[in-house]
Amino acid sequence: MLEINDLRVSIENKDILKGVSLDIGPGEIHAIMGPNGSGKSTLASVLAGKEEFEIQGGSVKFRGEDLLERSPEERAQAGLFLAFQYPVEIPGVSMTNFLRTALNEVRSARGKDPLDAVSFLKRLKEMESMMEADSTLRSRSVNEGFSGGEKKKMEILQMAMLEPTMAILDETDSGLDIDALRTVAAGVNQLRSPERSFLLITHYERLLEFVVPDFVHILMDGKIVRSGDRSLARELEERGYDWIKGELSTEQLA
Amino acid sequence: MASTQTIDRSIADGLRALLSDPAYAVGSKWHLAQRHKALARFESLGLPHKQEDWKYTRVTTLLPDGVVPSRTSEVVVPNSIPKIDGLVVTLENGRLVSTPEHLPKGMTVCSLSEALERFPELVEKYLDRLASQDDAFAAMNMASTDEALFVLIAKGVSIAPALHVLNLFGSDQTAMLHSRQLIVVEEDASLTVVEHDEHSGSARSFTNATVEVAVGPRGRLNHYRLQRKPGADHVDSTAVRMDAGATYKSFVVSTGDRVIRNNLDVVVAGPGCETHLFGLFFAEGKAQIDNHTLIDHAEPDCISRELYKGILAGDAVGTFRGMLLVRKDAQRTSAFQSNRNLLLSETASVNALPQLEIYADDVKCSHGATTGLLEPDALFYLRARGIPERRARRMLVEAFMAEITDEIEESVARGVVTDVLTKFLAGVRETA
Repeated sequence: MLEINDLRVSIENKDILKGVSLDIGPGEIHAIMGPNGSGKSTLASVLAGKEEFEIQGGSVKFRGEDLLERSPEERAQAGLFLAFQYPVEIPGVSMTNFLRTALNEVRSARGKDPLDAVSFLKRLKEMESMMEADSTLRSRSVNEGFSGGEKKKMEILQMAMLEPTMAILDETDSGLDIDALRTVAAGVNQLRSPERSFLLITHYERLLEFVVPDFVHILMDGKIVRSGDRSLARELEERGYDWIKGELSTEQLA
Repeated sequence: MASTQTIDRSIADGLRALLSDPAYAVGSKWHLAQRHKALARFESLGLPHKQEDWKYTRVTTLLPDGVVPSRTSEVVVPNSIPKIDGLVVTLENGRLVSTPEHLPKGMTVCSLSEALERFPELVEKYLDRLASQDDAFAAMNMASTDEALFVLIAKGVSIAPALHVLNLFGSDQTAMLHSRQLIVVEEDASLTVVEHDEHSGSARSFTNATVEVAVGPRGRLNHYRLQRKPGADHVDSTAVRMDAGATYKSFVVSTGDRVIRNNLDVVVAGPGCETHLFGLFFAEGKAQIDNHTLIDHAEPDCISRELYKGILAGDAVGTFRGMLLVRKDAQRTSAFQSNRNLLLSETASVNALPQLEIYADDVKCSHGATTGLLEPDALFYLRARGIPERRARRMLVEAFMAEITDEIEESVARGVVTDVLTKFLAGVRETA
């Protein structure tokens, strides 16, 4: 589904990703954990197509095709989705208009007819009840004045709406109370399918209690330094990032 | 380039020639006397080459070299004019060429000469009396006014359909063209006017429009000014006088590729009035669009709200100068003024000059101005959801305009604004 090979990325002459390789197969859930500043969010942004980063080397293939050459909208249309760590507030654009425009652009790129207003609203209401999202949010401006929990719920709602094949969740768990976290996790679990892959980017193990990953990777200083299964996340939670740092320096000495 | 005195003198000579040409020296004795007085006023004022409030609008760049006032009649009706059902009146280079066949009771739409016969006291009360006596362009306009549009809504009459004024300019030769309107809404009467101020034709022109508006006690005028002026430098002088309890709501939408200078002066001459001034301007390439407004609060218990928004690209320049004057007796005035600008290029710029002068002590007034670029994070967010860049940009521009477009109730005007935006963004794309 997504093949990242030796990806090296910098911003303003500072190297952030120093050779990241990751292979995500269809239906798999991968988690990337790492301390602040390790490059987790950069990876998410680069995959979604944010332009201020410079690709220094390496490649990313999405469903067999070069991803990095494509515009952000082409990536989304092809089935890549990023749930933002900080969803952007856009005063003056209503959530409904935004969602419907996005859905119909994505549908048309995928060769499907646009949804009319009635079918769209029906679909939106289903998603709202799945995400326990307040139905007044849709008539408000995109994310404007939403609480942290509301923003994250609406990100997952957008994901459900746009039916991606590769979803990247960038610290979707951060700043959520336990109830909101459960709702978000339930939403993600409901969207799990053999055709849909996930990349969960998180600082804490907490989310992984609810959305159980197949693989866990640890990103430090722009590199994946450990990969394992779910038990790696537990061990990390118990022993902290310093444990990995210690192990790494021992390896270097050896 | 000619010196400023030479320009002023050649225009005065041109106006004098018009006034001595039997074909144009028409009008009643009173009317002709007014035109001669206006000429004298023009000569003593001269064009505002050095005035502070013309600092950003250079008069010499407005006027094509050597051009003098003229009347030409070849006007091509631009295809940008939408199909309009209802009340339509057409002016071609200031000349009234058609009026609606059936007018609702209580509504008069006619030429100035007809108005001078039927309503001499009204015309004499307002014509060239509402416009500022210090405005050289309005004086120039009056001196050349052999024809004008007169609109009157009689006491207590509400006209539901909008009156569309097609104010068409154009010429195959470089020309200086004038149009003039006098709109009188009497007490307890109401009207919506949609003016389509359009320019077409193969030659560059200078167009000079003067509009005088009187709104009587508890009267109401919704006044849409849709200016599409490719190929023209344009000066518009609009003067409004409101009596007690009157409402005046103005929308000025401007787009062009040369210079547009709008002066809108509103005198709130009675208590309990409501003034709403909205402006939207679209400037790209080397266009310059300047809006200068004055709201003169002379009486108590009035509300005014003013919001102008500019969208600029290329090397375009905009100016907003809004003077809010609250006189000593205008207690309990509530006045809000704002100018916001969106720059779609790094080389576009705006001079924003909001101004408050307050002499009353019990008032609520605020003003402010902001100028910014399209939010890159917002653009990325929309694109990351599969919305193509072009559409995403349009959504953000529409969001920026929404505070004003949400207020546009007249459907033809709404359509024109959408059309203007579409053409504007297409042009921006090409030059980007």
